[in-house]
Amino acid sequence: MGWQRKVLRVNLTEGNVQVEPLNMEWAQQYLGERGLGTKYLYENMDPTVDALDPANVLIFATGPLTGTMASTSGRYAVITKGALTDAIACSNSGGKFGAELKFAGYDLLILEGRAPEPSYLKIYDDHVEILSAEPIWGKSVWQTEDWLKSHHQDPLMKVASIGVAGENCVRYACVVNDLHRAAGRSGVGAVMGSKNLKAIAVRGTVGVTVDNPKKFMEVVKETHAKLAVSDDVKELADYGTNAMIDMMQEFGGLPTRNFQEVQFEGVDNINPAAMTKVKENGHKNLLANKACFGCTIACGRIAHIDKDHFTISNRPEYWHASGGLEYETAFAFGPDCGVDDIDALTFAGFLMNEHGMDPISFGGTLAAAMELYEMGVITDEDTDGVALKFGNPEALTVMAEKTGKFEGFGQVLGLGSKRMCEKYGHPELSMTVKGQEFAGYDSRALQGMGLGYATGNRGACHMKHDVFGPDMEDQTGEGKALPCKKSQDKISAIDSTGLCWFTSGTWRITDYQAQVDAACEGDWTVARMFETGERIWNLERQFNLAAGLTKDDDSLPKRLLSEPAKSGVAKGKVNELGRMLPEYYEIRGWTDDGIPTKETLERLGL
Amino acid sequence: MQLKVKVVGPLSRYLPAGSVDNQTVIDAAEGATVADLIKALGMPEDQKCIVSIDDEVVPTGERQSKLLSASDSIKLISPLKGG
Ligand code: SF4
Repeated sequence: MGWQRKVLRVNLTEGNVQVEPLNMEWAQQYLGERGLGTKYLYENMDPTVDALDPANVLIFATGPLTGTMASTSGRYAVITKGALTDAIACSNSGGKFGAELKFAGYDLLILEGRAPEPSYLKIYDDHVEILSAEPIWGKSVWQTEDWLKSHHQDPLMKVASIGVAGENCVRYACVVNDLHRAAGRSGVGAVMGSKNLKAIAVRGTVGVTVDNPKKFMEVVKETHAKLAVSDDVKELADYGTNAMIDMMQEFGGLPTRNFQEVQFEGVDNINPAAMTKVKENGHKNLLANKACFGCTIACGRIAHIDKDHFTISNRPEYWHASGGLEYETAFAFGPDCGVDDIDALTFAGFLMNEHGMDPISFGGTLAAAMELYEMGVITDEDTDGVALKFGNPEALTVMAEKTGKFEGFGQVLGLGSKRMCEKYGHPELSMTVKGQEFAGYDSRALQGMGLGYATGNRGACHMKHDVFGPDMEDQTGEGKALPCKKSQDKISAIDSTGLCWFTSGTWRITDYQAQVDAACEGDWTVARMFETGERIWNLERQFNLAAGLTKDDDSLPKRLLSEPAKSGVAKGKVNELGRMLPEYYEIRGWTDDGIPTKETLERLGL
Repeated sequence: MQLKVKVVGPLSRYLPAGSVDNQTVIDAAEGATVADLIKALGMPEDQKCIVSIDDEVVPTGERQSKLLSASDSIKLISPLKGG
């Protein structure tokens, strides 16, 4: 148990709904969520198909611990071929939707084909319907959730949906659940839009079971207790993820103005202290923090915008509280675009949730457009008359809205920075790996982070490896390959449990393993967790190789490899990828071309 | 000698009350090391943090031996990750 042992398969083209038993052999090999979703994707589609083709498959996957009493057990993942990257995409999210899908009785929801008309899926336990989305097509995520709850007269329904950005296949459109939690990266929302699927509305009453309830309760009591006294948890709850902005600023790893610099002069206006500062008119940005399902950390921020601010002074519909600044949003809209107006950043963050877009990719794309504008490659004629200068808060908020509504220059920004920079003849200005924009960590200061970005199966991503410790200690590429590989394997396993990675500052691998072992059949040892993670990583790699990606896609933009950092601890340094990558391939058991050897595949049962 | 120190992030709770801009001045004997400074701030000896002097990171293994001087720009950065 732990697993519901049921998969819901929906063919949108034919309007078919089928329930099938979960393949338990695969569950024992890939655990759940990210791993199991990847296995089902690999076995159910041809990786060479276009991401926006109906033959792409979209999978919503829960983990064996999703919906249980374990802390942070609200996680689910969306797995597909990414519209932004043309590589495997795995975006996970919190909130309450994932647990509700599990309560409805399903480990996985597999969506195939393309609905002939805009549609949404209603799942009430065994009662599953594909319904017309005509009244909500063209509406925002927030309007969609409101309409569904009121139309079905069920305020407890949990909704995952796309906005207009997803309907129009903005390349980094995301799937938003519970109004401001998102499976954000790689364009999973664009794939959902390409399937004419507006929303998934779920209610579940089946509940979850675990293999050894007594042992599970004991383990969960221990792991909860560890979180309760952890400094790391207290810091996440008190400061939120945006605490990173001060660290990166002082360290010199805060990408600024499209990675031209690594420190930003405006940090004090957008950091956690700024979020809690009371202004002269009495306004304070931060209102409260918020937790996902079953979470005892509550890192989420709930904020509101100053009513006097130019963005909303005449728009009372934005005078409410909603999801506040997370570090990645603050970095991507702030330093990367050179903007230090906290209300403009918060408003643009609201727009990301409202219209369903990944703030990291939007911010990275806008930053590249700002550099193109300052170089004179694009002008006011291209940008609907908006001065796309670094530091212009209006450029940020106007373009966030235009992109969300797929209007004017927003349609170009909706391509993502890789496609946009190629369109204007300057691919070198796109700060991406495999087409996906970087998170807020500069890989000249954090060398192992650069290796993790370059080898990331879903493109540039800071959440699939963890080399922070060695990176902070030493600013060279030496000794980074092994911790990068090991952490990729470990996180692949943790991402497959249904638990949140933000527990990792407190829990060791033994804490995850003990919870999995108590909840699931089979003997889940630490060694097996690592092996499972390695198997998942290699299967993702196999998907990408089959999709046509090569060693050349394991790279970093020229800027990070040849333009030295101008300040901070890495002043004068570039990323040493050329030194780290061969060592990494060797440790992985891959050839010099980055292809898993026969022995590696056999060892992992692939 | 007097050491000017900036403590960044959650570890700023170790700064004396009334510190402005996360900075303080610590009185230290000549020959004081990074380890002495960490102790003077009231942090545990094995406190995880990044110590940088004039924008150069001091490896954890060198904390006992790395001598400080009054002209150093010293930062203690909280060891967060993720986000
Ligand atoms: S730590 Fe934050 S992101 Fe993770 S489950 Fe809790 S509230 Fe959600």
